[in-house]
Amino acid sequence: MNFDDIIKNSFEAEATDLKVSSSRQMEMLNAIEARGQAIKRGIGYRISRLFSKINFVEALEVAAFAVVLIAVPFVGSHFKNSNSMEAKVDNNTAVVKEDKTFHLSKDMTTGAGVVVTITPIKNKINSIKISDQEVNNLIEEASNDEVKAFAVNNIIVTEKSTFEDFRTKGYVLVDGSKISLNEKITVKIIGNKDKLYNSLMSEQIIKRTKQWGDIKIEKADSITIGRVDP
Amino acid sequence: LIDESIIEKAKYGDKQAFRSIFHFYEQKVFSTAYFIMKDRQHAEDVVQEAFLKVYLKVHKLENNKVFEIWLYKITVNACSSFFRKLNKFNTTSIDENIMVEEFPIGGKFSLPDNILIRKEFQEKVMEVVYALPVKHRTVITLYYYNNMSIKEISNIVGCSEGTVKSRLFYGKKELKKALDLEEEDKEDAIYEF
Repeated sequence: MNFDDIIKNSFEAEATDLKVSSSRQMEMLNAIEARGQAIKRGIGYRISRLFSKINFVEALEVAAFAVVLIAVPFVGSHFKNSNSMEAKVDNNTAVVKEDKTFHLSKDMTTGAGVVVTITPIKNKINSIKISDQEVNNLIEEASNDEVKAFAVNNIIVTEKSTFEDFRTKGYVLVDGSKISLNEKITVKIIGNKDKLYNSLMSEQIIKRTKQWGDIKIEKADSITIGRVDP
Repeated sequence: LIDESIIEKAKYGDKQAFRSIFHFYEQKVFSTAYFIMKDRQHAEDVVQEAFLKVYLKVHKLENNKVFEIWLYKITVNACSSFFRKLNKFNTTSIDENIMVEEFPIGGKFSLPDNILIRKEFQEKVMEVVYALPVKHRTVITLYYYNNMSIKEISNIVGCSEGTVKSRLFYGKKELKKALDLEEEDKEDAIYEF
């Protein structure tokens, strides 16, 4: 018998003396199963099991989706809560913010102005391009043209309104209300009708708008904003 | 080794399969924990922690062939956790980085024929084992009692094969030294080395 065998035999002999009784074994087994079942009912274990069933790439996709779910409302909320005067227009969000010198009425308003009608051309809405500078110019122009009230498809627009761009889906949201870009859009503006007409008839606006729709601009002596047209 | 089909069933939540695994390995896990912990109550606690992990995580085991290594790894880790809690984890000053490619295993030994004397001798061996630092005792236990290879022990305790060999060498050396000294003290040597 070599040295290793002697040590092995000594371990085995010691282990024989260490036997756990059958009743104690059952107690331990029951305790383990009870604890295990309690943990398995917990949400932490269920999540870990869920993740163990999906591979790494899928886990990344799930994580990315979770980030989108969390981040998008936060970003939207951030833009809506911003007090900046900046008007932001990009592919995702367009927001016209507070201007202390320029206020649009959100109450029922009647007066002279212009009515702009745009009939979109099918499959051209992706060509709508509006830059930050253009929005700033429009706000400045509106101020100069003594604009008092503004509505798109009877949705009253104020300096605090939010514009969310979902052109890829065929609509924009104005203060959360959907405006389809595939149907006729009517814009009513109350203010100095001559100044407004001249501003809107600029070559730049007409050229840009014609890329995605037929535009018609008419002066009107009496426009009412703030109620649904009969 | 336990039948792999039982492990496979346990992965899918088969309670009977889990019980079979428990009954098959419980004694081995308990003894291993006892050799490392030197305390019966702590060893029982380790058994419960180890099998609870098996109960909860066996579905994650990709290769059923390594179940036994995984189980002993869980056991050793549970012992380490208990030692940390008890603040008893021994650190050793022995240089564990010594690479020992070959350690002396050879030599013929004989155990005494008399059962009582044999028993006494085996108890002395275990006394020496229990006197070893925890890290060395763990390696000695896994090597001699659990029949794990150097590579498997390296995996279980999470250190290099060189470190495992070094700890094994030190443990054997201490065992031989202690047993040799005892024999030298005896006037009538019952067994020879």
